[in-house]
Amino acid sequence: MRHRKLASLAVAAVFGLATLPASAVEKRTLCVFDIVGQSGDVFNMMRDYRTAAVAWGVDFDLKVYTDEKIATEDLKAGQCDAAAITGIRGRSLNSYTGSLDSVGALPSYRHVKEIIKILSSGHPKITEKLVSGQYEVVGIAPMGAAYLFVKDRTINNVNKLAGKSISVMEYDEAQAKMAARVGMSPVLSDITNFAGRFNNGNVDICFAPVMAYSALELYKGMQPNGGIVDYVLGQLTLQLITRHDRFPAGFGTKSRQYMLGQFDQAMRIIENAEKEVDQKWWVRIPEADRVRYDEMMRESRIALRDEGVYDADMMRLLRGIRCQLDASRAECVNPQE
Amino acid sequence: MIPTAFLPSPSAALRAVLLGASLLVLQGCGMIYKTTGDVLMGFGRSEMLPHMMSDDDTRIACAAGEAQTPLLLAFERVGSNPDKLAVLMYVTASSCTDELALEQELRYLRAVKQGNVSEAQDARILQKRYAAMSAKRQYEAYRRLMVAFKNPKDGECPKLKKEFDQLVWMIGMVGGVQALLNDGVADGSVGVPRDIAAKVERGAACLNNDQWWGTPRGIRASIWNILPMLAPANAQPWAELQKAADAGFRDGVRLGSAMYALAAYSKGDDQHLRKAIRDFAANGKNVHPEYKMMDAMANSIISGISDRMWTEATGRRTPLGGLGTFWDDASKNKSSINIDDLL
Repeated sequence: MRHRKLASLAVAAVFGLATLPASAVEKRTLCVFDIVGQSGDVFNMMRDYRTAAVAWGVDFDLKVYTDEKIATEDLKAGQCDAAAITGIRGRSLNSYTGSLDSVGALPSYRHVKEIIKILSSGHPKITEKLVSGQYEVVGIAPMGAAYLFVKDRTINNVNKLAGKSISVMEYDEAQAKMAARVGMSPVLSDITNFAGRFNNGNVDICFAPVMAYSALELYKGMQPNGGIVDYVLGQLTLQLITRHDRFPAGFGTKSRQYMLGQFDQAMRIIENAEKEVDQKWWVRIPEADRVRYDEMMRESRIALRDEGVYDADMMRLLRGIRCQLDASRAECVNPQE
Repeated sequence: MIPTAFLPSPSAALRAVLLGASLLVLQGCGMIYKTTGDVLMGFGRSEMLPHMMSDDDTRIACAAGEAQTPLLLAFERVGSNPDKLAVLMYVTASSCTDELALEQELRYLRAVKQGNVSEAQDARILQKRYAAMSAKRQYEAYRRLMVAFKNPKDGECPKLKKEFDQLVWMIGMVGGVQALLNDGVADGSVGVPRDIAAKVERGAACLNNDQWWGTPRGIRASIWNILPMLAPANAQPWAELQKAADAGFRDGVRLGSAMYALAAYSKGDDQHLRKAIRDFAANGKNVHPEYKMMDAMANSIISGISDRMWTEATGRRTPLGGLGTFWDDASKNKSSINIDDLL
């Protein structure tokens, strides 16, 4: 009798058809940061995640946060068993994955997919880096590339950045340091006021994901002669972080695999947002300048790594991916990351 | 001698005459159709709309929206201009798919609760499909609104002298925001532009707040609440939403209260949300007789949110007559008399 029960459970598990007995599913809280709350893209994605997690033995109570800082604090305080936050914010919990958003490290979405594949591969040397203290990174999704939005499109060269003001996120020390390195005046901002400052002309430049272009009407700040510098300065990511002792064994692996499977869905949302950008805004960069910027970004990453902002192992891994996809890059000859 | 090859045969001549006559008749038909269309638009505006607005049966409105939209829009082909009525028709038609999407969301919540993975995932897929249909209808309403009012420039208001135009403007604005929200549920598959929220925030300011039961300010404040970056300096969204709700209770159209609840739901603010639902339920005796439908729309929004909350907590929706109550309310059946005193 007992064997028959076990066999039927096994069959159900294999075919993924199970209606799991209530006792087999543990209740956990997932705190989701979404700037527009329950109506946003991230929260919507987490609704689907919730259905998948039931099959791994966890029923998430989804709790929305429009303030990312509070979501992170609640995870630290143990009020959330897991949280979905940006990689930059998650850097304090896991500097390895928190360094994915480092400046100029992932020049295209192809690079982003490669790194997420590697992080979800289950390779023991990678997986051990995903756990830090009581936290484990159990999924990563792309949130779009970030660019410089400028009020004056003649700012198409790094030398012209000097003396210009730029709104930077106050919680990402890399942004302010990077701005200062090229002689810009960073204006510490948060998610509620950076766009307003740019649109009202209080800053010359803002660093923002392309997803913000339409929603925050950044085209207003670019009127009439501004533009978006066509150089990917960083890639924003969504990261799912758990307090791993509160989850069944193997949860992290299954969750990372699932989130990898959601990559294309996340990309569709990003691509739709990018389609809204009027082509006239793009400020194209000559190839020679692009190479120079790559070098400048590399120097910045090395400096920020040495200052302890970025994780050295992740920097090495990201350099490896860049060189795998394009061996002709200058950095591949003389690796310093 | 004229070559006979160039002369029409009797049957060919007959065909030519018939063709000419048909063209004349068809042209005449076109004129009749256009006149009919213009009459229909006029009738729709002056008679059908007030009739529908004074009815609170949202199911009839949904069916009418779906069934009559093609008829109405077909007159566009013969030169009538149905844009303004189309705004109302598309938004009304979207209430059908909104309801279907909500049903699937509730099914998803129940299935997750029961640990039924494939059922939950299937419900999500269907929810997204219906949400995409809603988003498409609502965005079409918004697009036609802009065409009807000649795409007013940023910061400018269209001419809204007639009450009908104001009503169309308000419903079109709400439709725009709904399109954005539904496209979010549908994984952005419709591609509704994301700057609609900011445009609606400004567009709602074109309406007289007092004339429209506090709704315009309610729409703006709900956007400020959800997207604080669009709020003016020193904005007090909750205070504004309370004013909008109170105005709606006073005037008998509770859309301001629905905006309050939507903002609270979106932010996950349980305390404000419960207050909004309780206040809404407690203020339903004074419904404006000419705008019962608008109040019924507010009721649908509030009931939908309440059903989600109930289902999440208990696995079933709000009990009949239970709007404004919650599963964990203190029991009213507990005697206040100390039983020990009686023994």
